[in-house]
Amino acid sequence: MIRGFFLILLFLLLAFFSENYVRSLEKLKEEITVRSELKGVEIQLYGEKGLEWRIQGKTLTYADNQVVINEPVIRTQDYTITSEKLYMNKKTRKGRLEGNVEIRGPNLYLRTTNAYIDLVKNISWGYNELILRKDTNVIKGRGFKIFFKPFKVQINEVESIHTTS
Amino acid sequence: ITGEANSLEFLKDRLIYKGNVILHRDSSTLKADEVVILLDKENKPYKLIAKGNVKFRENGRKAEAEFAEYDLRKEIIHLKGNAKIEENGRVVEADEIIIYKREKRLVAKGKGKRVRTVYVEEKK
Repeated sequence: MIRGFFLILLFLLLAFFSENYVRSLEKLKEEITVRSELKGVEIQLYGEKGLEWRIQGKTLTYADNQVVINEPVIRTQDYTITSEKLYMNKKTRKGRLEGNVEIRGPNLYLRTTNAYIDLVKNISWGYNELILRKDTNVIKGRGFKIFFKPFKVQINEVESIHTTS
Repeated sequence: ITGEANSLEFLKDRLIYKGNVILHRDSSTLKADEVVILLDKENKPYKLIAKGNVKFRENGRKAEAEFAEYDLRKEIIHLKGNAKIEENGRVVEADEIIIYKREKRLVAKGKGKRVRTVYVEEKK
């Protein structure tokens, strides 16, 4: 009878300590996530020929391999890409641009809702409607791919207007 | 110029339209498999180069060829490869036909074969 009592007591103690241990782990995990939020960020990505991409952002949240940047400004050579959010895989350097994606270059402006970007292959692409202006040339389409080096844009389902004189 | 196509490639000094290309300019329409629009320094089109199943329509004039170049500034259209023009019942076929729009003049050249012209007499 006494032995049974001691066994129950031991079991209760074990349960109490393990619950505390699990709670502390969760607290630790939360802390890790919060500590990795940085403000006023700049990331520079280098390739064989030196600086290839520069990414600035308002805040950067980092968890596992996923980097999330608010209000990113991504630059390469003469081109600047902005959006509301950038979700990027740190290892593959591929990312998703979400919300008001705008790409600006020498007398060139492209706007779409969402897009993808590959900082290794130096390309950006999207499947939604877009508008592209190059001086007086206005091009609407659905689906695009931009090669940054050398620069080239491919647009699908095109409707365009060009002013000649 | 307004345009439609399956896809478009945008390079620094040109636009390449591909697949069911239709371009409209004033009252004229150009159709082809592929059209390259050459841009000047201010990115304004100054020449069109059309390739494959080229069809050009303008105010009752119909032109066809395998290849065509349209100089937008000089208003000269150069048709090459089985070129054919139909206008007011008159037909001209040759290897090359050059249309000088401003001068309202047309030159047909036969390289491999002779120039062929068909006139339809008006009924009296």
